[in-house]
Formats: sequence, C-alpha cells, structure tokens
Amino acid sequence: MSSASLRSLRIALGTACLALLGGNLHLVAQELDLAAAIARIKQVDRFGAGHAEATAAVAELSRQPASRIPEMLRGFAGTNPLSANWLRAAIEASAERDPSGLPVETLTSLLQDRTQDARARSVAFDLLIAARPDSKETWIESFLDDPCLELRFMAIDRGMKRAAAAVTAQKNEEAVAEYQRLLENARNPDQINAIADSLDKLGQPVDLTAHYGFLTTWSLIGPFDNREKVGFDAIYAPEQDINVMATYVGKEGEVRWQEHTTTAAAGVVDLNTAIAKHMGAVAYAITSFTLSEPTTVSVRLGTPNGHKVWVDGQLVISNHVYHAGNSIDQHQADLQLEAGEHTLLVKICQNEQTDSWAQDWSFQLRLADPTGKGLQLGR
Amino acid sequence: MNWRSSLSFRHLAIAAVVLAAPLPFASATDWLQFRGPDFQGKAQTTALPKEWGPEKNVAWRVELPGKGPSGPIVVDGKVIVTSSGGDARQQDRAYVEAYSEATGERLWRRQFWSTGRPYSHPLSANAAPTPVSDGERVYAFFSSNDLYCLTLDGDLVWYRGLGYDHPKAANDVGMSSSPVIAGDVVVVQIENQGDSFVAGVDRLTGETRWRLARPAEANWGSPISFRTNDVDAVLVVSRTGALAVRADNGESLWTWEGAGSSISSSVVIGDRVLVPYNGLVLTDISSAPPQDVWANERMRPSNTSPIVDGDRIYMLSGNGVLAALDLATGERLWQLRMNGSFWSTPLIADGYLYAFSQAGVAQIVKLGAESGEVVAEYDLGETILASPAASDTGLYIRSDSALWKFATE
Repeated sequence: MSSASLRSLRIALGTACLALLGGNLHLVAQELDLAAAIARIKQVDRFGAGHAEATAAVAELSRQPASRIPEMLRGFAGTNPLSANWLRAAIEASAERDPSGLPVETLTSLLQDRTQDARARSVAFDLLIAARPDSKETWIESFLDDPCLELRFMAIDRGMKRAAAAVTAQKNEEAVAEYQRLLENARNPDQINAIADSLDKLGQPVDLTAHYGFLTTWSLIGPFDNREKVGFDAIYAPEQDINVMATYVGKEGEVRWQEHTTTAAAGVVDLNTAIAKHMGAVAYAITSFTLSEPTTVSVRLGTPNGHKVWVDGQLVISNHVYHAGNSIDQHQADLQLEAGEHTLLVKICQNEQTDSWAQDWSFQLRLADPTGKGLQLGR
Repeated sequence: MNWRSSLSFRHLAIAAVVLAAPLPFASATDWLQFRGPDFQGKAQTTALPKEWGPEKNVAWRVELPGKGPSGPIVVDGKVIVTSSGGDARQQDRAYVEAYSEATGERLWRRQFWSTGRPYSHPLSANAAPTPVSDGERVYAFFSSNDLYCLTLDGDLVWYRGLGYDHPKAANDVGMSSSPVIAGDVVVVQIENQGDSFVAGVDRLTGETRWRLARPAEANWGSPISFRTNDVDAVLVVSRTGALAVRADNGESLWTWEGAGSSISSSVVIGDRVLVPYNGLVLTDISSAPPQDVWANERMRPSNTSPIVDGDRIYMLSGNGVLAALDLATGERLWQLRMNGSFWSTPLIADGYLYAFSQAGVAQIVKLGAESGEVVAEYDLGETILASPAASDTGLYIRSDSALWKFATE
C-alpha cells in the first residue's frame, strides 16, 4: 500500500472514530473544560517544559467551535511568548474550521477594549477582517494611538498614505498637520524616519536625535586590548572603578577619559574618529541621566561590535558578536528605575577582521519608554 | 590546501552501505525538503514545462503575506510555504501556509509571533529556511529559531521557540539553514557567533533529544541526513570542518577538520557524499575510514548548492555561471553564462535545468553532453532568493511576493 493510501486510511479511521464518539463534533467540543485546557497551554515554558500536556490541549482547543474563541482570546492574559503561539494556533484552527460560527459581536467588543491583552486583540482583528474585509479600513483608523503596536503600525501606515496624498494634492498645511500627528504616535523607526523625511521636505525639519531620545554626550576612554577577542571578558579598570579623572594603562600606553558630544545622525558615536582607528580594541563610554520619577526605561543599543551595557553597575546587555547586523534598537533591556541620577557604562569591542565592511567601531544608544517613545530627560 | 591531507578522521563508528535517509511517509512525487529527494535537486518527472512565458504554462500565481528566501515543499497535494512579514524591519510575524497543488487555493494559514531574534539583511527575511515534511507533518523553521510542527491540515502538534530558549543563538544578518528529518528527529543547525549549536528534536513530541555545541561562527548551510547500516545519521558542515552524528543520540561518527562552505550545502549520492569543502569533494563514506574519491579546489560553490543528475554535477555560481562537472572525476565538462545573479539553487528534471535569478528571470536550460543551452526565459519581475520545488504536476517557485506554479498546458 502506498504512503498516500495509508494516509487516507488513517484519516478515514480517525473520522469514523469521531463519528462513533457521538457524531457531533460540537457537542463533544463543548464538553471540554476550556479553562483547564488553556491552563495546560500556559504551563509551556522554555526547553520544552509542559509539552506533553500542551500537545493534548492544543489538539482539543483546535476543535472547539468558533463560538468559544473569545474565551480562548481572554486566555492570552498571563501567557508567555511560547504559550501565546500555542494558543494562537488553536484559535486560528478553530476559526478556519467553523467560519460561520465566529462570534463577530463579541470579538468586536474584545477588540475595542484596550485593557485586553494586546496579542489577543491583534488576533481578534485578524479574525474580524477575515470575516468582514470591508470593516478593515474603519478599524485601522481607530488604531493610531493603540497600545497594541501591531495595530498602531497599520494606522500609521494608513496615515502616511493619506498625508502623501495631501502633498500630491498640494495641501501642504494639511499634510504637515497629519505628519506631525503621526510622528507623535509612531513607534516603528522606519515609519518615524519616513515621516521625518516627509516633514523635512515640507519645510518642517525634525530633530530626530532628540525625538528618539539618543544620548549624545559621553566620556570615552580607550583603546584597551581586544586582540584575539580577549577584551570582551577582560575586566579593565573602567569596569571596576568609574573615575573620569583617572588615567589607566591601555593597549598602546596611557589612556584617559575624554569628553565627546556626537552630532552625527541618530546619535552615532564613531569611535574610529572620537578615539582613533584601532583593530582588536576595546573602548568604554560613560554618561548619566536623571529621572524625575520612578520610570520603566527601555535602554536600546545599536552597534556592529561586541558590547556590554551596565546601568548603575548592573550588566543589562551583553553580546560577543562582531559585524553581524547593526540597526537602531538592535539590543534592548527594559528596567524599572527609581527617581534620581543613573549611570550608564558601555563597552564596545572591535575585532581584527580586515574586510572593508568590518571596520566600523561605533554605537548608538537611546532611552525610551517600553513602546519605543524616546524619553526626554535631564542629563 | 590539500583535502586529503587535511582530513583528520578522529573516529569512525560505522562502515557500511550508505543511503539517503528515506522520509517516513514520503510519496515518490512529493518534494519534502530543501532540494528535494536526497538533496540532489532532481525531480523524478517528465511533465515539467520546457518553455514558459506570460501566456505559456503558468498554472497559477497567488499573493503571499510576506517575504521569504524559503522554498516551497510539496506533500500530499499541498504546497507548503513559509513567509515573514509584519513590521518590515523586524519581520516578526511568521506565516505557514498550505495551498492546493491543483488550484492554488489557500487551504490554511497559521500565524505566529517570532520569539527569537527575527532580524535579517534587507534582502533576506526571517522566513529563510525551507520547511521539511515527513509526509504526515510539516516542520517549519525560521531564522528566529522558532520551530513549528503542524499536521498537513494545519493543526499545531508542537512548537519550540529555540531562540527563546537560547537568546544568544542569533545572527542579525539572518540565518537560513533548512531543517532535515533523520530517523525520529528533526535536525536544526543553528550556527552563529553567539550560542552556536546543532540539535535533534523529537519529531513527534518536540522534545530535544540531543544538542551539540558548534563553532561560534556564522553559517547559512543546511545539514543533510543519510542512513548507514540501519543507523540514521546527519552531516553538518561549517567553516572549521564537518561533523557526522547519529540521529538518535547525537553521538559523533566522525569529524573532519578544515574549511567547509558556510553557505552551500552537501548532497547524498548513493554511498557517497558531495561536500562543499575547500572547493568541492566527493567522499565515500561506506568505507572505513571514509575515503575521498576526488577533490576539486577550483570548483567552489558560492551562493547556491550543487545538484546532481546521473553522472553529472551542476553548480550555479552567484554571478550566474552554470558549470557541468563529471561526477566520476570532478572535472568541469562545460560552462554556460546565465542571465543574472543567483541565490536560488536550481532544479533538474528530464534533462532540463530550471533556474531563477535574483531579479526574477526564470530560465530553462537544456542540458547536453558537451554544452547547455538556455531554451526559455521569462522575467517574472519579482525578487527571487528561494529554491524551486517540483511534483509530477508542475514546478513551484516563490518570490518575495507570490507563489507560482508552472505546468505544461
């Protein structure tokens, strides 16, 4: 018997078994303790923890009638990134099997309720526009300041198209107002950059460095040795004692802290010019900032080099990677910080690659709220 | 460097007849993995079109929800394809979809949020690895190291966020190694400058059976699976050498030290393996220790992987030179300049080679004993990095925006 025939036979037997169990899939499904099944999904954690229970639960949930999808969506509260994907798969399978049973009114209420889990609302939106494609535009218009950034992204995109149309129609004042409204709400860097570019062309330049919350004034010191990548793990003096008046023995002699304020776009500190071009080298940068009240601060770093970041002496970001991508917000740590002054120490390691594309020794760092909106702080 | 002298067989556990590992429930006409059966890039069909164009032999075209250098696979009448989209910079929304092979109708779609790092070079995408199937399930893998096991009807069986488990297992340029099935495990090669490893994940339960540290170097090549003396095995190649392990427990069978390709992938040819290793090497792994049949340092696979048809090897360079090599000697027989630059590994069927340039120019080459001839060109006008798939009803290719089927009218 061919494998295809075996497969067909298995499917037929499975269907027959279901029929023998009662013949009514919905009746069987409605007997499921949904909360218990969702709880088993929520136990999924790193390294495959909870898989056996979740595998059974996701199969049961996937066969629920679509009328129970709102209950499953509310189950997103408290999921981790892994269990959220398990739950999403079950919901989509349920909706696909039972499209006519989708409870549109309940899903609408859930999507409108911004206190609901952002991922649940994102799924609800996908289900609603699949059922009623003509409602998509209306929904998107309402997402401009939505706490769910997936939804907000679409509203910003739509607004950008509207503003561009205003420019084409030579309604520049209208376009400027729209772009400024979008800039306030946009969180995606590509969208922010495009909006700023459009405003610049309309005679309304944007200070993007300030908008993003990039830190531009630093004390720098280096180079220390990173030949054969020894510097990443080495604990040089600036990691032990932050004293900007001190001098130390570096890779090529005495080194001392020097003030540096970058004027480059997006707050990029080019160490090849601020210190000097070195390969197999480590540099440190230090600065401080002040919070007027307890704040959740998102520290966001971009660099093509190996790096470590400490906030108030606590290591919060660390990656020993060289020349494998470099973009704004590439590395992120969200911290709950008290009011007052805080110190930031950054370590940037350059390797010894000779490729032309591996000569960059730089970083950019900004402080934002957890959604990515730049913090405007005293420093 | 001399391949033979650089070989260091530290350990050889098994000397026996070697065969490409059969996928458990595979049909002869399915295309279940990157480069198809035996990783040779050869379809066992004579039905593919020998010409194409806007009005010629295009069976259907469907829009996809996102980008992907990942190739389609074909299983049980379904074309399975992965994409990534959402925020254009992050590509953190992962899609797994099934389309009817016959009509192009979408049968199901599953969406997930990436839990590892989804970043990539703008040309690439999170959906870079080609999925694999055992004939009953689909294993969809992404650059973010999210691994999904779904039934052919789209039901989630299990899911692993290997990037969530190992946050430093990442390359922000993007990774592209396609998973393979070997015995009871699905093998993922996650080599990068951070937490670099290869792992065998139980294909039925999602449990990690074994995990081996690998050199902390970027790698985009894919593992291959084969079966030797009733043992399922896997070969992984990296810049610093190669490693063959048992699929059931990850125990080392042998290692080679040297400079393997970090992009191009190996091919199983009966009891031999063609390895992109300091050029190209054909080695016999049925003997103890494994013996090189030949090594050709001048033939260096670049962006694409070698493919095999009978007594010929075909290699398409990134800048578009197609070379035919003698499988017996490794010597070049002829070469042909093609149109464009390439990331997509071509496909062979019935003496014709099907290739897709990065700019989207679909080309058919008639393969001859002493030369090749481009017999058809069709500019699809869409960026293509993915490799094609084929079944007995047609040829499938995905661009950055669409999935195409070509079939003889």
